[in-house]
Amino acid sequence: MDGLASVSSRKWRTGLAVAMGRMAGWVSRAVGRGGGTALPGLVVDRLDPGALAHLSRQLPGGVVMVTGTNGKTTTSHLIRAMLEASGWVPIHNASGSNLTRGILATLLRHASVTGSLDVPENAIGVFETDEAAVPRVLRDSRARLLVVTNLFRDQLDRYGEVNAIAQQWRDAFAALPGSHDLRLVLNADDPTVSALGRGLATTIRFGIDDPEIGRDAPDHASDANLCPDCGSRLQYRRVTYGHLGAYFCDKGHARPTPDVVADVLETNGWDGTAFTLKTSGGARRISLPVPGTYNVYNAIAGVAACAALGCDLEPVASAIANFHGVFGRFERFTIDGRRLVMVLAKNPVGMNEALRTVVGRGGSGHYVLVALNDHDADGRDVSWIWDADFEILAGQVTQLTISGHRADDLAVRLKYAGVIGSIPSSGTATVSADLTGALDGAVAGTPVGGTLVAIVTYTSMLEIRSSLVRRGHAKAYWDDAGVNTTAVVPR
Amino acid sequence: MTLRSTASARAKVRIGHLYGDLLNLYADRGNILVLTRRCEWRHIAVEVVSIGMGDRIGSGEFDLLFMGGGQDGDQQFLGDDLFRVKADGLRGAVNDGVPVLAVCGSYQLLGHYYDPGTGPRLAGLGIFDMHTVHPGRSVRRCIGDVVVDWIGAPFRSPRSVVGFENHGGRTFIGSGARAFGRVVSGNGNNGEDGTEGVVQANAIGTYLHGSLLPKNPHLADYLIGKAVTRRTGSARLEPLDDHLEWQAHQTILDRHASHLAPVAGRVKLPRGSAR
Ligand SMILES: [Zn+2]
Repeated sequence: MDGLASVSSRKWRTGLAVAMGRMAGWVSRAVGRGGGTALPGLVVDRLDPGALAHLSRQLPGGVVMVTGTNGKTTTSHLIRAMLEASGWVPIHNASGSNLTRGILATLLRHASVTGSLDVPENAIGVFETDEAAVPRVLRDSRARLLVVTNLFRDQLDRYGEVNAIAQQWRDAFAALPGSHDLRLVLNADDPTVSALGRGLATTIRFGIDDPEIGRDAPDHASDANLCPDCGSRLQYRRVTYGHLGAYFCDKGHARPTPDVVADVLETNGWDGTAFTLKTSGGARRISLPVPGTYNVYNAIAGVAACAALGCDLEPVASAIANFHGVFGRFERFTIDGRRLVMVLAKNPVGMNEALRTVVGRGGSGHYVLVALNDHDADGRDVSWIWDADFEILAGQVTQLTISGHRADDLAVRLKYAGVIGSIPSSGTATVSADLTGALDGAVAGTPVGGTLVAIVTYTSMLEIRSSLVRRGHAKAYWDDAGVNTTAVVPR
Repeated sequence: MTLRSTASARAKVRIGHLYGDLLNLYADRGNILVLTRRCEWRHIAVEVVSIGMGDRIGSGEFDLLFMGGGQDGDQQFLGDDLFRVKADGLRGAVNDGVPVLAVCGSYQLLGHYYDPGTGPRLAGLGIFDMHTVHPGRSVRRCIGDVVVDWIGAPFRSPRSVVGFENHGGRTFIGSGARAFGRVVSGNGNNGEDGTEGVVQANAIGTYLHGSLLPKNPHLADYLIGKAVTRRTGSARLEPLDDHLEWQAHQTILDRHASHLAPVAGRVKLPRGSAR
């Protein structure tokens, strides 16, 4: 019985790998390296490359993958909360460790040394997946849903160009076996992403319809200049964010009508956005407690995914109303009577949205800290700051603090954007690579009762957070594995 | 994008940005912004004209030309336009001594050919005496900070130029061609022969972005000086306060070429404050 023998040897092999991976995680924590979120996954993947498929295919509810340049962490957390409210038990790589090893590490916590997955009958995988890892995770996990938030220019030194990523994904879709029943949940407003569903009847799309929001032209950082159907130039009736919006070409191709829509957006500064959610089940008003148009996209991406899974709208909507953001992406703190709002910005589009939220409340005299690091997790190439529209800060800022390892590059950018020169004589502009000291100075310079906005790259966020934790202004973040992920700042 | 200075009645310097709406990868906008601001701060009237699909480059029309990167598809898309509509004007401008800066993807396009490793060679315009070969996806890309010694740096100008490179293709310049710089740190054209970029008359092709000009104000002013000279017959550029620019330049030197003397030896570098 060849089949039986291979099944049992597969279990045995995965089981042994699970045991070794567990040990690696235990050793890592015991020697105090912390941050060992993904190490067990790495060990298992090396020992048994079939483990990801073997374990993830045991999930009774199947797997939902979430990818895209911006918003995949927030969207996957939203989907997790929505599914929990709908009675599912999500198995989720919540720490944002989104390569194969991070997903495996999450599965390992529920795996036995016999290679079987010990989860309840209503368990479902929610895998935030790095763009580059999509083909492998898709193939191995046989995911039933792939949610794509958007495709923007991110860290070109890591990923390659937007068109190249989309092509890799299309190749991966084409290589799936006929038995793999995959549905795509796509952003209708992103030309490249929406085109991934071309010719697939089961695709669900989401988008923003509000004619009142947005601009006439794409950002400078636009990545989707050409129509994905015919290669001619794209035009826009309306741009919501980056190159997202109501696009069309003069050969008659246009943004498809989305199935899940957000309309009548009403922004409430850093406190969030209200919008009308329209689905085939009707319309309802929803308050999303995290700011920015991009988070509205994340919310409706989650609604579309849950609709594809057959969830009721009621618990899904309540999960949105109770959502307060994800560690490090957007957080509010109180320090010595000042409000500190920390926003992650890792690429031009994210930076533009953060800058627009700073100035969006009107008035001027803002207190702003911007920090730029160039570790691997931030992207080593800091060119992207020249694609972000820092110009909109000119004349709006009283206290500007520029920090991070590449503070000097940022200072030059803010000079040419006219921001440094526009600061009133009563204000200050400071450049300091020492982030902790810069933050202290910026907080001290913010009046009591005022708001300091810190716009930071990934590792600068970790630095600020660990400094706040040390001094009791913030709680440490413990991931599902009990690992303190704020204790270690990657070099 | 059109920027005008009001403080001077002198003739306008016209900067042509080739395919400015298509080739805008790697923050090419930073280069254009630095060229225009540095003119404006000196009350030199300047105008940036986007040279799009179908637009020809007339003789004497531009005082400076800039060409940036782009996504792969974008470059294939413009290939036909480049050969049929732009080639003659661009070649004429280079022969006429117009300063040109071509970065990364467009640097490759101006060589004899690009050999993608898989599939047929793609012809280039042949304005630069060089060609590019892609060694295959399994060979690592050239990615990281670069420091070069600028061979043609003007007398008494700092000679170091810093930037960031990210290219798969390896470029080899002809035996008679002049390199833009000698690599001090990083890969440059091919990681083997120590050359970076190429110079033909007043045209510079280079892999350095980052953006290139913000951290290299001496190179920006070199190009502006050539452009202003074309327009007005002479150029004595007023010095600007470049301490932030040189500080950013120095940070890269400190990381990768700390053996070089501080480039900004003549410029005071106040630290810790932007003003
Ligand atoms: Zn079209």
